[in-house]
Amino acid sequence: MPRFCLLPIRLPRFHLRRSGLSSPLLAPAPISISLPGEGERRSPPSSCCFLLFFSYFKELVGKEVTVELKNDLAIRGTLHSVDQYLNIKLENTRVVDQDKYPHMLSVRNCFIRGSVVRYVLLPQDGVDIDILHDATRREARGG
Amino acid sequence: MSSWAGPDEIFLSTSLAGFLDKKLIVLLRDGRKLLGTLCSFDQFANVVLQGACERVIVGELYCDVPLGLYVIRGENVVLIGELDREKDELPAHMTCVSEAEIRKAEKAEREARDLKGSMRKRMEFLDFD
Repeated sequence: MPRFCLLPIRLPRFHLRRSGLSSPLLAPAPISISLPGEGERRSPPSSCCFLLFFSYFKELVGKEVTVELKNDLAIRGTLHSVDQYLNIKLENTRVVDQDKYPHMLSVRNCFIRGSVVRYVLLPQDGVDIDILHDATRREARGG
Repeated sequence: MSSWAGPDEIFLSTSLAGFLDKKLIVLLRDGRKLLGTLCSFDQFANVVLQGACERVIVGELYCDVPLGLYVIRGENVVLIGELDREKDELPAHMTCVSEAEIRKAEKAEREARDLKGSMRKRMEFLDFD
């Protein structure tokens, strides 16, 4: 069986708009994933918790978040999309400490590589603890 | 299924396809800022920049040092930002200077920093707490 068939949650390819809390987190786990043209070269990380957070971030699309990077640059913007590596695209961005980073003045849309993110600061109502809790238990039990 | 997304999908996805042929600023892990037009990319965020230049900023001075065609390995990429054509790229109070001048300013700043560091070291020696 190919390695990437073991992932517990189907990734809807461009399922990015908010669609009610019940969808990806609570979906019964079908077992197939087909990412077009990716093959084995960079197979997505296969940890189930990782996909839990991918699903979780997809629920946050359209909300205002602040992303703090490992180089201390903090950017606030509307979450446009996120992918399985937790790369993030932001819209209407503004840098929190603008004076320190003058080169970011005219950047309105940006792509942030997942590997350089330190924190994502969420909106107050961004997390439904109960649902996350349930989904985590479900994942820990192995689907 | 083809890996090339259709026009709608480009704008909804996290892929860099929507940035193709746009003028971008790429921040690297070592703090450098490269400007250029995106020619190509892949899933690692390896990118190819056409007409790349490095924007060196020292205090209120800046300089765009021309570099040419650049292939950047994805692991060094921190952020890729689209430059808004309508907005000023830099605050109005900043002045563009020649490459020689910016190098001189860089050197002066580095020396000032080193001096400060060595002063602090000597102060630590005196500090018996």
